[in-house]
Amino acid sequence: MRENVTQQNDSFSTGGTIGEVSVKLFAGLAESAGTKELRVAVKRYTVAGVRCALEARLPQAASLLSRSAIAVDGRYGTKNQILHSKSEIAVIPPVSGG
Amino acid sequence: MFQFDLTEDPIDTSFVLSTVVSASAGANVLFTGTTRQETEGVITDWLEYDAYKPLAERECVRLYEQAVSKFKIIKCSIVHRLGKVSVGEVSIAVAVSAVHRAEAFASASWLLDRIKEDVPVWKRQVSDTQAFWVHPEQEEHTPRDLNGFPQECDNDMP
Repeated sequence: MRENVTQQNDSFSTGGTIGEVSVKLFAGLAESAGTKELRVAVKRYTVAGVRCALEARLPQAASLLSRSAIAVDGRYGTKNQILHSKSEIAVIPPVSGG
Repeated sequence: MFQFDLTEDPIDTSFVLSTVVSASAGANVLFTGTTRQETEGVITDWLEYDAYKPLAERECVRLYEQAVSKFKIIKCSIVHRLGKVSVGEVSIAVAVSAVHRAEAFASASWLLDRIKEDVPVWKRQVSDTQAFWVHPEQEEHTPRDLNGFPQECDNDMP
């Protein structure tokens, strides 16, 4: 599946093809991945692109990933939100504070 | 007025309550959540908390603003403990003040419910036989739904 990505001035300069992003992981996802930060190859610099890359990279965590949100720069992201070179990306599994 | 903190240190609940006192308020409510010894027949030795701090603070500010609009609260303070929290220790303190008790009680209860669904804090339950992160099924109306899923992925790439 291809998706055109509008490149902005401060977005990645790879022609909208392939690159890597760093992703912060927490709780059960970090435990499953064995790390709290992961670099994953993405086909699209979008929230949806990161989700697809994580599903491929962490098949053992598929169920938890499907119930997780992705945050960008400290806010819950939207599916087609475009990522930028300095975006801080974090995966938010179901919360259990309190 | 709103105060928020994530701390590795024991929570001073008296201080948290004191921060919401106001001459305008006739009611001050303090809720504290503590580590329970037994959960569904399993003895808990301790809980361990982790958080994504930037989003946790942003979400609590958003909830405070909603609580002001919904319950007309005057002041609010939310403090959540991180790291190891032993049985009987306080993991969270929520204090609110309002003109009358009904709004103070209702807002504290509402805030707790929303925190437990929207704020990125996670607990790990540790006993002598097992240790696991708690990831409950979430309600459909939480902000995380904005991501949209399921989705199709062409994952033939590395």
